[in-house]
Formats: sequence, structure tokens, C-alpha cells
Amino acid sequence: MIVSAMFGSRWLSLIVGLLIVASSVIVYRRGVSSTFALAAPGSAIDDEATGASGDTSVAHEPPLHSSGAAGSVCDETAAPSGAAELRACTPLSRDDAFEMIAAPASSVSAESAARGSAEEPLAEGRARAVAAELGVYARLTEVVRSQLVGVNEATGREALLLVDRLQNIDSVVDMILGAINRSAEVSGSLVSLSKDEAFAKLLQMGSVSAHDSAENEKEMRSGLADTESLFRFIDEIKEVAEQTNILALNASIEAARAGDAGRAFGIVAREVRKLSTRSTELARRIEKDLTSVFAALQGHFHELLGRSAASQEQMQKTIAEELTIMTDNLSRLLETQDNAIRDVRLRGEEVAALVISLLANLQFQDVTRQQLDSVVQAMTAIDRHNEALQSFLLSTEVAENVPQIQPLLDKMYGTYVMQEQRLAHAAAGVLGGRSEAGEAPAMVELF
Amino acid sequence: MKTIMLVDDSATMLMSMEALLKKASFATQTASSAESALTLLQGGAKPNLIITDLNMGAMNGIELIREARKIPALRFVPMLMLTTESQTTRRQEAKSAGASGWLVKPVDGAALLQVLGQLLPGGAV
Repeated sequence: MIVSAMFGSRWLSLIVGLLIVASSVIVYRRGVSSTFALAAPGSAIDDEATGASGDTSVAHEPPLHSSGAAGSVCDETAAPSGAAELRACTPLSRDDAFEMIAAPASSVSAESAARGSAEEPLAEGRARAVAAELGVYARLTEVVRSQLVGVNEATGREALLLVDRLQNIDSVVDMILGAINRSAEVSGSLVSLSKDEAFAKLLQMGSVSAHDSAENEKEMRSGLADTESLFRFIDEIKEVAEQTNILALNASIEAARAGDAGRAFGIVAREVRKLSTRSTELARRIEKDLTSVFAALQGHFHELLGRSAASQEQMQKTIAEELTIMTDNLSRLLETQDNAIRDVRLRGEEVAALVISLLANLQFQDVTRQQLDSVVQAMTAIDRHNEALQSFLLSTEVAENVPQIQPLLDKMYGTYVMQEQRLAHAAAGVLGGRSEAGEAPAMVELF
Repeated sequence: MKTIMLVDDSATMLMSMEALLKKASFATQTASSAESALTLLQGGAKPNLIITDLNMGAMNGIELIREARKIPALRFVPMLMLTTESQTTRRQEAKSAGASGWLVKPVDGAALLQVLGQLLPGGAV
């Protein structure tokens, strides 16, 4: 998101603007500012060009926009001073330009005379110096360009990693939900089995009297075997709880790796760990209860087998008590699991919505990639314009015109793929003859 | 399960949108260029919906839709543009080519699923 903010489309116009302004400033500093009319008189950098103010052939205006009308004579009446639109300008020929370069030189002729240098060589010398200085910009833009390309590559890699991490978290959450559901199923089976079969038999056994025990011996043995089988369910509950705990731990790790985006997953993971700890505790308690019940039943069984009538009532009472405790604990386990499942499912839905939202947010990378691509293209175009300016300055062709930046800006405008870029371009006042970019249409439109 | 074909030259877009749609219980099919998508479609692929980017290599998303609409089996399959471009003139061009809608990146996940719900009655099932 930071990258998105940093490299908004305004960046493009900023970079383009800065480079052009920088080029203009160099031109100005070297004494040809009056020709190109790029800086305000009286600015800190016009010390060398004070003589130009008296030159009527030069339009001296407040600072022009970065687009500049470099190499043009601009009609002051065509646009009000400070207006955002480009002024109506007439391209200058190289001869005109040199004439104008020479003009300020003549107005500082005292200085020239003092140095004993001729006017023409001074102007040509300045042009050569400007051309050399402009040449430095190609290297500068190359550095910036390669950094922008690097940013694109880096955000692309990071975005892919994020997709991967989000998917990991998502699958862990799905697994947790699966494990919890399974745990609930097992507990549910345990309860229904207890109520429907084993417990019924146990209760029945508890109430079996010594007199009919011989007839029920077979049934009692089977009852004991059923009770024993309940331990397997307990083991399974413990196993699932342990598995859930590990999954929750993984979820915590993934959540931490995902940074801020993973905070919601962290909460789910914590809740699930609490659930698994509580499930394990309850399962242990039920196991203990079951062990007591089982021991009591075995004792009861042996007594019955031994036809001893002693303590029959006491034994039945003990078994009934143990069974009640166990049933209570089982109910509590189910209640805890039900609540947790409801919570985790709800959180799971939140997580699913969050995952979808975060995955959609990754489109930002593609958006910024295209914006940065536009900046890179613009910088390449600026390089070409820069080269044209250099060769113009060094050319001896008589009829050559100063290279114009507007066609380049128009071409740039044509490569934009986003309304934001067009709006930024329009806001910079370099639309040329184009109409305003206008408002952005709806983000979602069904035809 | 309904299948959505995703066409985009950005690996990030393909991966993130694929994960998003899978999360919403859709099956997906991806193509990293309009040309390869068209090859799949002409080869008999029949997704329930197509989401394509606009600016890709030689062939763009609008051209893909125009060509895909020529395939009889795809005449009524919803085809959406998902692009950073928001220009009205391009939208009109897409509409004429047979696009069903235009989504500007970055589109909100919930908004995307809502659009899919509108175009695919019954959702992902």
C-alpha cells in the first residue's frame, strides 16, 4: 500500500516536471534563459541574465509550467499570465535562438569586453556547455528508470509471496475448521452411543440384582466391552484436540508472517488453541470418569459373578453417581465444543471475507506496475527530447527548429491507461489542445 | 462448480484472482495472454464466465472478446473487462465488441463477487 501511495500517477508528472524544470534551469543559468523564457526575472538564478529584461523580442513572464514552451517565442496576449494552459508559441529556428543567445551577451558586453571575449564565441560556448550539462541527464534518468523497474520487480515478487501466504493461512483455517468439526462429530457419537447403548447397558447393569445376574452375565460382559470401547472415542477426541492445537500453532506462525494482514488470523488461532486445550482437559476428565465407572462396573460384575449379595445397593449407587458425573462432563465437553465451533465458524467466515478482500487488494501491484511503466516510458521520451535539444544546441544547420516538448507530452498522454494519470497530466497544465480529462466513470459497470 | 477463465499478463493478477475465485468456490482457468486464451476457447474450452485485462501483448482484451463472441458456444457467456483503464470511449468499444461489463482495477473483492453473482445465477455451484 505504501508503494501504491508513493508511486501514484502524480509521481509521473512530478518526475517529468522536475526533469524538465531542471533542464530549463540549466539552460537559464547558462545565459540563454531569455531565449527560452523559462524562469521568472528576479529569481535567485537569473543573476547572469539581468540584461535580458530590456530585450523586447523576449517574453519575460512569471514561471512557466514544466512542460515549458522551450525554444518558442510566446504571445503574452494568447494566455493570461500564470494560466495553466500553454501559451501560443511560435517555434524558433536555431538562427533565431542564437540571435537571442547573442542578445543578452551584448547587453552584458561590459563584462564580455572586460574579459576580452567575442560575443558569438561566448554564445556558442554557452550552447556547448548547456549541451554537455544536458547530457548528464540521460545518466540520471537511467538511474531513476532502473530503480523504478526494480520497484516493480520487488513489489511483484512480494505480491506473489503474499498470495502464497494468504493461501497458507486460509488452508490452515480450513483444516482447523475441519478438525473441530471432526472433534464435534466424535463427541456427538460418544454421547449418542453413551445414551443409546453403552450407558443404557451400564445403567441396566447397575440396577441388576444378584438374583438375575446369572441370566444377564452375557449381557454384562458385552456391556463392559461397550464401555471399554468408549475409551477409544476419548482417545480420538484427545488426538483431534492435539491436532487442532498444532494447526492453531501453525496458524499463529503464518499469521505473524503475514504481518498486519494476519492479525485477524492470529485471533482465530488463539481461540482455536483455547478450544483445543479445553477439549483436551475435558477429554481427560471424561477419561478419568470413565475409568472410575469402568472400575466400579468391573467390581460390581465380579461381585455379581461371585454371587455375593453384600454391598449391592452401595455398588449400584456408586455406579449411578459415576455415570452422572461422566454424563455431566460429556455435556460440558459438547457445550464447549458447540460454542467454539460456532465462534470459529463465524471467525472462519470473517477470515474468508478477509482473504478475498486481501487477495483483491493485491491488484494494487498491477495498478502501480502500470503507473511505473508509464513513468519509465516517459523518462525514455524525455531522454530522447533531451538528446534532440543537445543536438539542436550543437547543430550548425541554419533552418533547424528548436525541438518541441508538446508532441512528446501528447504522445505520453496517449499511453496512459488510467484516468488518474490523465487527471494528473491535465492538472499539470500540459494538455495542449486536448480537452480536459473529465471525471472518472464508475468503477463497476455492467452493460 | 462453475469455471471462470482469467486472462491477464500480470502473474500477480492471475495468482491473486485465481486464489480469490477458488476461495469463492469457483473453478478457474488462466491464460497469460489474449492469444493463448483464444487458443483455449477455440479449442473447445467453455468457461461459465471470462474476465480479461485490456492492455496485454499484441492482442488486447477487447479484441479477445470480439473474437471469442464469434465462437457459437460462447455467444451468451458473460465476458468482463478488468482493467486499470476507465475511459468511457474504451468502455463503449468493449461494449460493441460484446463485453458484458467493465471493472476498474483495483476492484473490491466483495464487489467483484457481487457482480459474478449477478451474472451467474446460483453463484459458484
